[in-house]
Amino acid sequence: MRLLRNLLRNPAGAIGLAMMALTAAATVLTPLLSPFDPFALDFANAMQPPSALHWFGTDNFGRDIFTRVLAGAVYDLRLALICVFGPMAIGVLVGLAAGYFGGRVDALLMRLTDIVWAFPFYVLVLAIVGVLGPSETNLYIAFFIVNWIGYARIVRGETLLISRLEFIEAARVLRFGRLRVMLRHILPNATTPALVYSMSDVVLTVQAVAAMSFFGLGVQPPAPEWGLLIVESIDFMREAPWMTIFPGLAIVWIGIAFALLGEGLSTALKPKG
Amino acid sequence: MPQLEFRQVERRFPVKRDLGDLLARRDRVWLHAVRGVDLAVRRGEILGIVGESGCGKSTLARIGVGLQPADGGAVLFDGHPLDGPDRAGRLQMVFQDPYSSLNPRMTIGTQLAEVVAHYQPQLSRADRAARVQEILAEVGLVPETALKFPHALSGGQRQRVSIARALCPGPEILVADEPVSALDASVQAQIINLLKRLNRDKGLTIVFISHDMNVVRYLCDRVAVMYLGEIVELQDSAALFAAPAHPYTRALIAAVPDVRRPQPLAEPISGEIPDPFALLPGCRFAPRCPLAEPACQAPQPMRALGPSGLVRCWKAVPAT
Amino acid sequence: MSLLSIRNLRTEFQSPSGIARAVDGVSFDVEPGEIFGIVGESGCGKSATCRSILRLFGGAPARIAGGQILLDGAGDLAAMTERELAQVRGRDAAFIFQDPLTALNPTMKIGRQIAEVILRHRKASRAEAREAALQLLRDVHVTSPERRLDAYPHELSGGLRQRVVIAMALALRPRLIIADEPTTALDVTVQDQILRLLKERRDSLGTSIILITHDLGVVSQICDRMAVMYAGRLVETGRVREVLDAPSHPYTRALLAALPGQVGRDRALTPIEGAPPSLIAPPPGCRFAPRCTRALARCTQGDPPPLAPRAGAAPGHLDACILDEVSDAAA
Repeated sequence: MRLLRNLLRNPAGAIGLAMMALTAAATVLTPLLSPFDPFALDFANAMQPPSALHWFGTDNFGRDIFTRVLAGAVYDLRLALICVFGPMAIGVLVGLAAGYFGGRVDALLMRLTDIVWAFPFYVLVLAIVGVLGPSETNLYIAFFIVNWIGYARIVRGETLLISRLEFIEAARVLRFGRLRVMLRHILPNATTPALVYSMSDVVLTVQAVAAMSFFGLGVQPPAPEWGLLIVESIDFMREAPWMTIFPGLAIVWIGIAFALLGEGLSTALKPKG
Repeated sequence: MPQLEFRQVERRFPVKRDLGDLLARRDRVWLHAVRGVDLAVRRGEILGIVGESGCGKSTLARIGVGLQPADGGAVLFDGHPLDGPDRAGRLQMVFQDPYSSLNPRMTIGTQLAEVVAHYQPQLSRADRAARVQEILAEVGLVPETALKFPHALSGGQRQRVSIARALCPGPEILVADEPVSALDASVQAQIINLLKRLNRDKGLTIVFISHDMNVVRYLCDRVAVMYLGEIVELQDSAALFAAPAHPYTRALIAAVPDVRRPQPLAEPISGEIPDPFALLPGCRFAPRCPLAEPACQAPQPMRALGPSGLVRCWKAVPAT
Repeated sequence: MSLLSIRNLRTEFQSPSGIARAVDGVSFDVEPGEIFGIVGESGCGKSATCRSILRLFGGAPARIAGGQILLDGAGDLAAMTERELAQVRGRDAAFIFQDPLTALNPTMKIGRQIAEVILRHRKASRAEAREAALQLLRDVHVTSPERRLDAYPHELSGGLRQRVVIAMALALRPRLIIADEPTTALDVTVQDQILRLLKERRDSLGTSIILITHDLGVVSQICDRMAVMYAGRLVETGRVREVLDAPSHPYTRALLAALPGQVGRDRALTPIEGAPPSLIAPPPGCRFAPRCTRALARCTQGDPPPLAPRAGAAPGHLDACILDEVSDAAA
């Protein structure tokens, strides 16, 4: 649709989209791209440096790192999507309601935001996962509870601005229902900054998830999630640096992809004029 | 019976108090945007409301369509009290800024169809589209306009769309808040012609708010002049411009530059519109008025002027 | 010797769809002590022309693509480096913007902002600068000037702010002031005061003023000579009374005819149909021809016509229409 076309028209968007497409393709095509099983142990070939057979080398259990990196992509992508877009939906609705209704509704919702905001992000996530127990699902829950506030604030600000515009006044004179005004007229105009923010949020979330793995509180081994791969490789950094480097590069890759996509989206979503 | 009537309409806004005010127990200060306005709009007329910034004309306009409530007094539409925007859409409004008057993310056709669907839900999709085309033609826009987004249209075209949107419910009164102020002169003429035609051919009553005396003189049948929340003069257009009665009206007209001649030497008015918080019991224009006297400190009611005019100045009316 | 001589100025703006020739071959002179008005509708290039003089594009992707801007005693402004031009700004020529609220620093007191202008170009003590600022405020008839010196911009009304801006512009006694729609954002009674103020300052100081506006009434009120601009080019110039009372270019005539103040209530207004042409790919020939009721085939061929005197017109009254008798078609 039009958005896609606009996105492709600017260099940042095109490259970002291409990188994402490549990553998604790699995830799906892993069995075709590599003959190895990401979970198969092969002690005979452990700690091999990169070679023609093992492009990224092998780890301490003899598992092919290239395969594990490819297989890990799906974890980080899934985590990023759920931990970002889920909270975003919550935050957008909260911000919309707060900005549109104002008064007590606004005060209540913003105080709620402030309460969550008062806790440092990692502390809260760690606490929740710590209480619920380490697992991927609990990680999702933790992010849902914590990660929506940035979006709420952004959208509230936009909603306040847009509510003053004359086409919204016109909608009120025409006696359009509140829900219609909020969802059909304000929402599409208020979400652009939130969408752009979500792109950098994804980058941060991928890092956060990796950090969770560091504490053993996120995705559990033997899943080849990139953060986990790095954590597992720390003991072997001297002898087999490739175990750390390639997952690290993968995180950088996905970070750049989303950052460029965010840039491209920001340009593409401008309504012009 | 007037079609739309304002009776002693008041609108005031509380001024936020800071901690110092609270501790000192100062009385709440109010900003009186509209003060004791009586105005009757006649069916089928074009009534102009003029004034400079802070006079309250925009606020009065919004009260007139039900966008804002009146804090005191009442607004009557066809004799019935107005409580929010009219359900049947008989009172509509057009705004000043062509750039923020339309949803930038919806096509013109979609925006207009939405209004039609809201007021005529029984229409089929095809009939709705036909109605949209009908209204576009009414305001002089080509059918292809429906497919475009607002950013693809010029300022004049956007204002036409705004008028089209207001016409969808089939209104009886159109309140236009500075609809041409943001347009170039050559385009202003198009919109003014359009409004005139709608008034003449469809009997659409128009309340035209403006700061541009030339446009008001051309377009309006009667003119109300506002100053700091009050109406200070109300007369037929020709009479007002031929013989303005209130000193402020005189100053306002004298200040408008005329293309046909350079300005007279004397400055029509000194000083600026004063702090609206400094409430005076009497004539609010007195501090700047060349004719002011101590008697002007007393509250000034509207006085009859000629057969149908009103003026809020005892000096403007010859003693009987 | 003219104070300012603009010769064949061309200014271009970068836009996503191409290069817009906002000013496309504009030439005019401004004499010492005269108020010169430039009139036109939005997008005609009047603002771009005047911003080009002092190269004040506000970060917009614009550049002077050709021509000369000769300021008497300073040289060609178009050829100067940024540093040389910075010396000219304020001292030889000053600029007044349309919106006084954004022209002033909201976090700095008025007195300090005026003093800053003074201190930038000459050495003075704080007390001397303050006294000079005080006098400048008195010159522009600001009441209670001592109190105003300590005020912030948002505490003043629009008219007062514009007076402060004018005071700042006059601080170094420049020979030229360029005012870009200085009264458009003000009430008409305040506009009247500001225009009179500008005229009075010109009378006592001999400053030349270039006044940009879309309002022909404003031009009529204080300008001595004027130019009408359309689609990046000048279409008519001359003494104000001659141009407004006997306009010779079809666009000027159409503009005057569209004004509601000139027509009886029973007649319809005559708008100008159509829209101005694209500045990226202007049509050949006269730019106004597509909208002109008198256009002939010749009008849309070749280069846009230059300003030229017309038989029977007053000296100095030029227009860019090739039609011999503007009342009929011909020649």
